[in-house]
Amino acid sequence: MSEVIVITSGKGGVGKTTTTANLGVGLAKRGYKVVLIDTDTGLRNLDLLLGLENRIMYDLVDVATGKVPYRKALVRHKKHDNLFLLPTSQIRDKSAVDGDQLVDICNQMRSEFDYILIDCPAGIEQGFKTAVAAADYAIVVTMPEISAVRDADKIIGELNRADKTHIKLVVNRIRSHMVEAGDMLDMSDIDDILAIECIGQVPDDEMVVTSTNRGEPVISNKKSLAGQAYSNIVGRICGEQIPFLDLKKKNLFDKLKQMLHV
Amino acid sequence: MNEVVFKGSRSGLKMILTNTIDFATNENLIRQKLDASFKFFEKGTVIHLDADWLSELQKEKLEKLFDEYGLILQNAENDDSAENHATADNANSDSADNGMKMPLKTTVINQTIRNGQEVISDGSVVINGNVNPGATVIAAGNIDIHGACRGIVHAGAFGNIKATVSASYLIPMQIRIADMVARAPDKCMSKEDAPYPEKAYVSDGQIILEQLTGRR
Ligand SMILES: Nc1ncnc2c1ncn2[C@@H]1O[C@H](COP(=O)(O)OP(=O)(O)OP(=O)(O)O)[C@@H](O)[C@H]1O
Ligand SMILES: [Mg+2]
Repeated sequence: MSEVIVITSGKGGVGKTTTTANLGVGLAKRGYKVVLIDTDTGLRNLDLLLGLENRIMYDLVDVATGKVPYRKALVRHKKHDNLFLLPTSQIRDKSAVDGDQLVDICNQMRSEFDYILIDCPAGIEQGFKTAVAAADYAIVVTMPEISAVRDADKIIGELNRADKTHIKLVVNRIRSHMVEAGDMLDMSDIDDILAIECIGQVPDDEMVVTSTNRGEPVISNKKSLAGQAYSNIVGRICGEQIPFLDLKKKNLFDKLKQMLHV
Repeated sequence: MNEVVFKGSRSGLKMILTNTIDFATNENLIRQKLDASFKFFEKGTVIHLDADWLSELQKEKLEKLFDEYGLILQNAENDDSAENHATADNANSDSADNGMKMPLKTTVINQTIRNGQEVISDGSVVINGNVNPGATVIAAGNIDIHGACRGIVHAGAFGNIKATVSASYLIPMQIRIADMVARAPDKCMSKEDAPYPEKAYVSDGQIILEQLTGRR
């Protein structure tokens, strides 16, 4: 059993790379052999989040062009020795690798890995098309605000058009007190608009940022609510039934307050 | 993505292009738009091209492109004047007109219309699903949405002011009926803003909403 999952979003900066890194570590902790493929050439790349920047020798383009076999380009994680990274090219050209090449690389890797996670660039251009080409299913990451949800909606339309109909949703950076303020959407509206199964609700959590700086994804931090939310997503990917964390304790109070003001 | 706009008008369905971007880009955007929405177009739908600045060769290229999707692109006649005359006053003669031409057919769509997708029909449209923010439905006749309408809906797009828009949850960005427009308040609306199903229609020169009973 081997599964290729693309993590995508449409809008930039919503947490694709953060999600990929955390799910990778979480799945590896459960004993699965995992490889993360970075297809983006942004600023905060996977190698940084995993603290592996200094170990990169070859990259995705080297593998795609046949310069080296994929095993030679993989970087093993320091702590989790069944977690690997296939780093992105330092050449800033997203069209350097095409969909067929990525499909080919994934097919070679399938026999060795349980999970292949692909971190997708933002947007719906060539980089997106390349990243989704190989995927068995897609995880769409969004945030509870209208522009992010609209982009997620567009991406779902695009995925359907590429015959990818197996799509799950992760809502990241939930700040419960802002939902009530009016410019954040609540979960029921997001569910209603996007109409795909939600497998994760991750709170906005400073520890995500501090752990990024240390190169150790937040899922390893037992005290972090976001870390716990990511662990739950990992469980759901493995087929477990896990209830969502209660991120809205304050809501009833906020609502009352709001009503008194009117 | 507002460089290529499909719009209903008295003389039919129009595609409006801006001349601030070059032809190749325009062509690309049109293809993207048709790719995203073409299955919602009725085959053989006639679309009028509103872009005087294109050369004959470029127009021909676009005609071929539309032909690939089973659509017919024609040069728009000078119909601006006709469009400007459209008011609630001549609604009666107009709808009588429409009635005479042919009975409107109804297209049924069993899926959610997502951001960037457009449904365009020269008849009426029934949608069993949501119309999401950023999605557009344009119909010569009525639009009936069994779901939440959060996008832009234009009923009676060819001038029929008797056309209606109904939805289980009517919280659109914009409702247009013939040449009347009503837009949503500037806050993002939730289903709670639509406690019951509603129907929008034109009465006394403005778009009004009426509760629909026996729906949802
Ligand atoms: N749950 C969270 N709580 C707080 N901060 C977060 C959370 N998730 C992500 N962030 C922060 O948001 C920023 C963007 O995250 P990330 O780089 O993962 O997004 P991305 O979708 O991969 O962006 P890009 O489109 O640029 O690739 C980062 O600084 C990250 O630390
Ligand atoms: Mg990223």
